[in-house]
Amino acid sequence: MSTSPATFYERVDKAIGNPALQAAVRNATSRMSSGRDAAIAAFPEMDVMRDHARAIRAHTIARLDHYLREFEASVQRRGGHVHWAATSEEAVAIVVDIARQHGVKTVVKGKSMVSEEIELNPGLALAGVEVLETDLGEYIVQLDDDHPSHIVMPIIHKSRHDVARLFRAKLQATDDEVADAPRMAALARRVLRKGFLQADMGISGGNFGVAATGSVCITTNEGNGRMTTSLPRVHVALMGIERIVPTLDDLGVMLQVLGRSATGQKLTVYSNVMSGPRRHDRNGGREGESDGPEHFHVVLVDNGRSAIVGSELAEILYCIRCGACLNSCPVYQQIGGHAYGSIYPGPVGAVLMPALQGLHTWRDLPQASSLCGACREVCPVRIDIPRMLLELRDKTTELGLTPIWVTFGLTVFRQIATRPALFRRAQALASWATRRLATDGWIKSLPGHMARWSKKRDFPAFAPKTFQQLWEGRKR
Amino acid sequence: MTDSRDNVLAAVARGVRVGSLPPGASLEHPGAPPPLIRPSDREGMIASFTRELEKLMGTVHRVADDAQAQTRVLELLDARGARRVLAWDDEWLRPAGLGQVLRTAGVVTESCWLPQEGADRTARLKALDDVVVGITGAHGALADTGSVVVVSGPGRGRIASLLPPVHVAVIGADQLSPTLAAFLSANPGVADVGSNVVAITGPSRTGDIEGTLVLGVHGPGDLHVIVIG
Ligand code: SF4
Repeated sequence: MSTSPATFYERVDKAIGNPALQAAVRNATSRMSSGRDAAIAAFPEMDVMRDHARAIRAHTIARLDHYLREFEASVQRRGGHVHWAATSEEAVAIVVDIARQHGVKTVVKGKSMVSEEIELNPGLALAGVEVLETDLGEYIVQLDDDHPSHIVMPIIHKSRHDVARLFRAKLQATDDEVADAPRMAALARRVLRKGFLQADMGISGGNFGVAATGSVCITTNEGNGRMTTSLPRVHVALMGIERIVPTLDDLGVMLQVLGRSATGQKLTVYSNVMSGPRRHDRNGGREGESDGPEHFHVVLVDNGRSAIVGSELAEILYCIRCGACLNSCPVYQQIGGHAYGSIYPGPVGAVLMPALQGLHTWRDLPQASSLCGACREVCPVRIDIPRMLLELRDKTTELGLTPIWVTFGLTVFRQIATRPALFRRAQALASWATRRLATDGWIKSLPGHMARWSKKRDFPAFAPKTFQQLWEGRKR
Repeated sequence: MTDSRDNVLAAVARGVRVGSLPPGASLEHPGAPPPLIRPSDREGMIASFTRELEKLMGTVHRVADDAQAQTRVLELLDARGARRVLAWDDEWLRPAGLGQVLRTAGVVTESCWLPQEGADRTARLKALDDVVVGITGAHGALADTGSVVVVSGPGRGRIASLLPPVHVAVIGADQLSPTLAAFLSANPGVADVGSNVVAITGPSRTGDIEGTLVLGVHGPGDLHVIVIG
């Protein structure tokens, strides 16, 4: 999706002006955060497991070229095909090509953030291939011509009434069919089941690729991922090149921290490991496997990732897309995913988007953080997101890209702060002024030019005595 | 596209060589996962497996022997009025002889075999769409998480644990592993056994609509594991 990043502040305004959206996002994120916290409290080894998971990811990225080659060879050994896409255009072209080659007319698709990143669906539609999203949330997003607002729970910005309205409009659903969440899910299941049974090709993402065994692992709760990768005669898995782990044992470690961090589950319902196509006996007879896809393709997508390897942002490649940093982020909780205007929202997106596509396009995102450190606290692979946000902010300044409101404030601050007498007078003035503006010690809005800035921020009034005054007082 | 392969690999290799080592990275593989101390005795594992799966709204039936297991399967079918099942081939079903027992009781056992060609495949899948119960064995089970590990293969179709709304898996108590890590270290070649290895941890579920838990959205919403012994 290519919402113009120039309008970041307009989108934030819009989000903040929508109390229903804010309530929905707050409910969902707090529900997921408490699920995570409970799961982790019940898992005494979480800390060592996280250390180990981080070590696996860090080691893999440090030897990524080696493991990518090993992965490719292992997939090929099992009769699968590996395709390399340097850019999103190339990735789309590869998938379209595979579809043509196998005479594919209809595709069922499992949830894949990479497919959003490369804008696969419009590309397939252009080539005359019909695509059906099958994850319930993604199906709703597709029906509504919308975009996911969370990397794990795509429609936390929608209420059940929104979904009911949509199903009535697009599926001619009856009142009874949309009476509650279970009935709406049942309706979607009936519609999607038809798609599964006749699709020529299934497209999935890939949570992990296992180098030693040539396996692709996807985790889903609904089972649409298994349908997508088992029923159609062609399976295509799309993966970022960084999604590799060395061995099955390593995969086991990642799965244990992923489920708990994402949704508070010990394991996602279906931890699905696929190693090559259906295995036939020599004559395609009954000695071979009963079912599974006849063709197995893996598309490895670079699209800016290789340039991150070896940079000061390399750590973001450890990410396993659990979404915990989104749920824990006070900024995400307030504005939701769409306000970021990016495929990957929240703290991970604030680093990943500029890393993948450059600061020129995404200069505002690294500013959309209070650097409170909650993301680093919850991250199952302990990615130091605040450090990288600071690096990006430095870079923004170096490139002269800093948003005007930040530059102006800092220049004034520097003028005053480097003159002690002026600084003391400014502090006294600030203390007096802010206490007059505050209600219950909190300032909710500022006058004049500062109104827009303060609209999104509450902060405490200055203390009546400055730190310097208190310090002087103690010395006496 | 071969160009892209070489370019991507070259760019990654350059990053790896030229850049500093990523934070926390070692060139040596970090080794085996840290051990989890969990019950590994039979009763402890059965208790844990049962507790975990039932928390997820799956049902565990513990039975003493093969005869009881067969009876329990028939009861589950009767309760759902199921006269047709999608099942693994006889040689892979537990207890041995279950397939024959089912057919003798008048139940039709459908095979998981799928044609390779598109139209035939769709026709076969459509013909199976109204089957209510799928019956499988398992390659193992995980006490710590309440999971059954199912591996595809000849006569062991993926669709038996996937298409019908009810999945019945029959396992022996001796198939339990304490944890996923223990299972993987005891079965290092599991990816060679079949093209699909899946750890099934509870019935299919979604929370996509306002976080309301809904079971059985695509996969089976009703999961029964019969543990023999
Ligand atoms: S950065 Fe960490 S917490 Fe955020 S999605 Fe990635 S793995 Fe999860």
